[in-house]
Amino acid sequence: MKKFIFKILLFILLAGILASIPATLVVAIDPYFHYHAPLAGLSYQINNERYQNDGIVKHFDYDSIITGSSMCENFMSSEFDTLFTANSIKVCFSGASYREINECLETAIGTHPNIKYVLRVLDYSWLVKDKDAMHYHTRPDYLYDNTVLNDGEYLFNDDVIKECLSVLWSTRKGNAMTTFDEYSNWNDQYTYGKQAVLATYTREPSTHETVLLSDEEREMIRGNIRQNVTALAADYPGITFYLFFPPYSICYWDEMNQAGKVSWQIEAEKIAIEELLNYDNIKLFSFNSNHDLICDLNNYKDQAHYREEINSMILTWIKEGKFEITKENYNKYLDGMDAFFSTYDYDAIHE
Amino acid sequence: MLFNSWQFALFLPIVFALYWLLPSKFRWILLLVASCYFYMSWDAKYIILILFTTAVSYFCARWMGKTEKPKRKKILLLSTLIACLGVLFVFKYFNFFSASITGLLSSLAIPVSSLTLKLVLPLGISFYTFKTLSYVIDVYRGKISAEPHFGYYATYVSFFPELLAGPIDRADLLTQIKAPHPFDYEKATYGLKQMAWGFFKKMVVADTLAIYVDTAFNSVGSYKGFALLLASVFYAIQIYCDFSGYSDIAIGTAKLFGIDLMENFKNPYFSASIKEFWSRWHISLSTWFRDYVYIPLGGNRCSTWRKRVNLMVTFLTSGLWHGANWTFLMWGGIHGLAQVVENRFTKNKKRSGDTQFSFKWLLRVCVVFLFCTFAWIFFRADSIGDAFYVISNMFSGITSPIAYFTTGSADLSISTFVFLKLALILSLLVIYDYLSLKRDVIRQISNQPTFLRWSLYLLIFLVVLLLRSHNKIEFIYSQF
Repeated sequence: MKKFIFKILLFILLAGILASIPATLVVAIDPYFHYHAPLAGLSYQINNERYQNDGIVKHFDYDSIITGSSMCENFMSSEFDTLFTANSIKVCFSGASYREINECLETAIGTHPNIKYVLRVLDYSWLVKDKDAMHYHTRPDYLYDNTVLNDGEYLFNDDVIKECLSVLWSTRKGNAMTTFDEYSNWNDQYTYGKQAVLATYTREPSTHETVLLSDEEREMIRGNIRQNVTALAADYPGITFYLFFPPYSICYWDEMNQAGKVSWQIEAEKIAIEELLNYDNIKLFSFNSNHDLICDLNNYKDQAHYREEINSMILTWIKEGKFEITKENYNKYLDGMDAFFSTYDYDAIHE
Repeated sequence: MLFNSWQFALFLPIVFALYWLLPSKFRWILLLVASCYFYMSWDAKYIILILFTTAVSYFCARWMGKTEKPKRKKILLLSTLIACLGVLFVFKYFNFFSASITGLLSSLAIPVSSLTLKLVLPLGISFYTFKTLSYVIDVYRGKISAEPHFGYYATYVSFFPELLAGPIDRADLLTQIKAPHPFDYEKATYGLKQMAWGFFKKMVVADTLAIYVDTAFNSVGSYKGFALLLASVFYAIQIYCDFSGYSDIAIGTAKLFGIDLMENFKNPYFSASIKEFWSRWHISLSTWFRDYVYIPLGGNRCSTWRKRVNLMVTFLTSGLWHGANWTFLMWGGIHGLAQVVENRFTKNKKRSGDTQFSFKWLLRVCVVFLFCTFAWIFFRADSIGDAFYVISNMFSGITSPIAYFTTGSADLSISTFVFLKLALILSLLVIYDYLSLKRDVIRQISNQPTFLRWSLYLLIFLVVLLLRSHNKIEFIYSQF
């Protein structure tokens, strides 16, 4: 028995020494920035949102943050920095719910109390959803939580070790580290225009009905906005939150119209606006009144996703205060939305 | 708790230390308490079912032992069968049969509302039920005497290494639990090595392949061609590694306590016939069905047709044991039919020239593997329809081989890195299983020089540590 116990302990010792080799490599290089910011001189490739964003938010140096869904992925941090005299990071979560984005912001503000600006999209697709809804089915929780007990998943992970080796290889080849302009940017990967949009959109037959928001949905919107958007604005009045409803294409409104949900969508936006405008540090924008933009399908690759130039224009408009929604003008804005989207000739899109 | 969890990593050393510190006569108490704790860590209330099954089988066996009257013995046996199988039926099969009967009546235009029970399938219920039934039947047959000590018997039924997914040991395990035995260094170290190999098969091979299998089989309609073929082959390997990995961990764990469980897998995918496959796959279950279903039905000692019927009944029942779904029945039926056909065409032939490792043998092994892979499609698919979809679409596009392979690989997100990883771990698996056809690989490693031995141990540790899948996947057979 003594011999058995001795050999077990010896094995544990040797195994521990052996295990420390990959662990040391991972801690040192830290491709997901779980422990520290990128090491100077190494060429990190930032290309994995749900694995790297949390680390970026915790360990990078910045005073502003661009975040949201894929609607924000084509923003150029450098343009934002120039316009707003800031030092921003861009951390987007493709398909994310309001809650997921809010959690990211909570982490950012918690680790960087000097944040000046937040630029964030408010997707229509996640507006009328439960406040605790999340998009992902699995998430690397070991990166997001504050316990080291499950860090074994990170330290002894062949995918992470592969990333470490990729960093070293990329450095050896002389590649530059991914910039935030490049990070998540998909602009050059797609084709834009009417043909591309209509290829991804199947028009359903009209229901010939008008769907209205239920009381449950109204409460859902308020709960979602309060927990996942305005709570931070209330807690941090010194931060300016630039929020915007994304300019989905006219095809999106065609789909709403076919389902009888134009009024449903507009009322949902009204409820959100009324919640958001209670805070002086929230600057709210919507570009749906820019009909030239949303009706020109050359700006889009599908119903919702616009090209990079639109993101640049959005930054400029925000800086200039164009298309801002205020207490004074929101009713006129919503009336305009109703008048336009309720009477638009959607059939012409498909001719 | 799962074998591959931190809870088990803490639980096992504590139980091991206490076991060998305790005097022999108290060790069964520790094993019983530990086994109850092990089971209750999943869901405490279901310990009642094990207690019920244990108590019913214990008392009926005792009464059987005390009576000489064959009729009374028979009544006691039937009572045990009804009670224990009744519990199994309620929790596992009631909803299936209810839905099937409702469906049948509906198709005959007889409207009936389906009655369903909202019950969770208790872990290990099929395994411990069959364990107790084998004990009671052996007592009935006079093969063994009824165990007078309830504690020993309860420990035998609930012995934690094999509680959730076997092996389904016979009553000689009881003898080992009762008999005092000193610490056996060779057995314990062998057990640790067997556990290590089991963890490799489960955590590295099975759980890695599960990602691709689940991707395809959870949404079969989204895939065609090579993706379906690859997922099917992967599943054949996954289920083998998952289940034999569990068995290795269970057997290795028992060895730490000086207890030998029955061997459950013997390189089944190196079988040259279906019959041989079933002598190597889930041996504890196949021998159970042989001894308690096939032979009582008449086995081989009846007419050819009756023998074929016996085979089909045995395999259909085996299929149903695995799960309450027509897919499992189909799987069992396919294997039964294959054995019937194989027996028909090999009946009068003496197998000669097929020496192991000859080309002809290798060809047979490949054919048997492909057949098993085909049958596993029904085992894995959510429905018969899904299974037929997989079979009818897995060769779609094969006339353009390059596109067939590249599209299928891309569909399952198999990058070059993933391909290399899979090639490495599957190579290790094949090499080990091939070598173990003729030798005890673990014992052979144990006879190597210290440096080489320890290098191998540490290499396996490193492989499991770094290449394990990070998706926590339940052992497949724990759902049966």
